[in-house]
Order: sequence, then C-alpha cells, then structure tokens
Amino acid sequence: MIGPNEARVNITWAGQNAELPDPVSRDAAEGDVKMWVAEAIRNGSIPGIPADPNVDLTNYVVEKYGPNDQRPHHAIFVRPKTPFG
Amino acid sequence: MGNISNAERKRRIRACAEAGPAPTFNYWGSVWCRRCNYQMGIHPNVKGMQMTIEAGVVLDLEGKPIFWHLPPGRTGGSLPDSSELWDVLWENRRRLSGFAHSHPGAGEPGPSYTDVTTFQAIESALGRRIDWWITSSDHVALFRWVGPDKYSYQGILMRTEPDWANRLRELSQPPTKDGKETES
Repeated sequence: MIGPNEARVNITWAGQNAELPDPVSRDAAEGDVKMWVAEAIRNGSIPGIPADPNVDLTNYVVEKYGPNDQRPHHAIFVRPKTPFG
Repeated sequence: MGNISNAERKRRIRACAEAGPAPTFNYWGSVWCRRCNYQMGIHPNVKGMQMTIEAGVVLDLEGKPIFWHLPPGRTGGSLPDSSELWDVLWENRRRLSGFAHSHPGAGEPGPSYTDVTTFQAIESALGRRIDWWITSSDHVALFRWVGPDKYSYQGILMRTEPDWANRLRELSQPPTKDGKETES
C-alpha cells in the first residue's frame, strides 16, 4: 500500500524497466532519488534490473506525477535526459 | 561589430549569404556564422532555406522514420528535454536504429556537449548503442560511440544522404505565420 505522501519510483536502466521495491516520499529531492536508485542498481536490489557496479545516472532526469485514472498513487520516473543542442 | 546602420548590417549579411554556405559555430545555445559573425536566425544560406529551428526524427532498423520530433520550445540552438521523445524511443526500442537531429546553417555538423551527454544517457537506458545522425543544410554526418570514455563519439560524413534528410531540413524551417509547420 502506498500512502498519499509516498510515491512509487520507476527506473529504466540497461534495457530494463522496473520499480524500487519500497515507495519514497513524494517530496523527495531529485538528487536523493537519483542517489537511492543508483545505489539500488549498484547492489542489485531492484527486481528485474541486474546489479551494475558501473551505474551512472549523471545524465538522467527525475519526473514526478500525481495520481491519475490508471495509477491511484504518486509516481516518480527516473529516465535519461533527451535535449539536443 | 562596431556601430553600423541597419542597412549596412543587412548588406553585410546578404553579401555573406551570397558568398556560399555559411560556416557555423555554436555559442551559448545559438548558432552563428563564422564568416560574418551574425546569428544564423537572421542569416539565409545560399539555397534560400533558413534552417533556424532544430528538428529530430526517430529511425527504425530499415532507416525509415518512426516519429518526427517537433517539440514545443524547440529553437535554433536546441531541442528541449522531452518525456514524449523518451516514451517513443522506449516503446520502439526493439525496432530502433537511431535518432537524427538538425543543426542550423551549413558545413560539417558535429555534436555539442548537450548532444553527447544525451547520447550517453539514452544508450545507458536502452542498454545498447544506436546511431546518432546530425544534419546541416548541406551535410549529413553519422556519429557512433567509439570509446574509451563515455562521451567518445566519432562521426563520418555521408556521401549519400538518407531519404529522410531533406524532410528533416524542411521541418527545420520556421513555422508559418499561422503557426503551422512547413509542409513539402
């Protein structure tokens, strides 16, 4: 069960898309979210994403979304940035 | 530049444009003509085509367009971050071969620091390398990761242009006054 002040964290890394096992605060700072996700990938604690000691989320962005019809809870997506210059 | 009249400024830009394709460089997010030092947004090239807005296209394994990337907020110097583009890349990851984007002006195109850091991020997420194309008004170049470090991408100029290149250039022209994209 995810509380109203919590969010599920979704991450895409190395061709796999999965979620952190435990929710985080919906107000968590972006830097903290990236740090938690990187550590979880590093030690292999995200089901579906093999452990990767070389994980590097430097060029990733963190996006936060509120509940909607398909998803009754807050969600945080950690994905690669996509700007071009 | 010194203090010159608007008429003299226009005359210099016109003369530069008539001298041949503008050699360009990027500076603080804008594209400038190396020959006359004016910004490319006011500087037509010799074909009369002003490539003043960047555009992109996602390509499948046969090199055919899957998705034309024309996000709100695109400028002559950048395509903004877009969750929609990432969704397209991820949804099409099994038939994806690469992504192309345009740079304004003429000359041999090269990736910016923003470009190579985005290349690296997307390939990390996809779990594989893909092709990165960049077009100018008169050249197409293909860049691939060669290593050893994470931002080491090397390009080759293409002698034969892919079929999508001219369409990408058309979409790199300014929208019409009613806000519509330029159609061929």
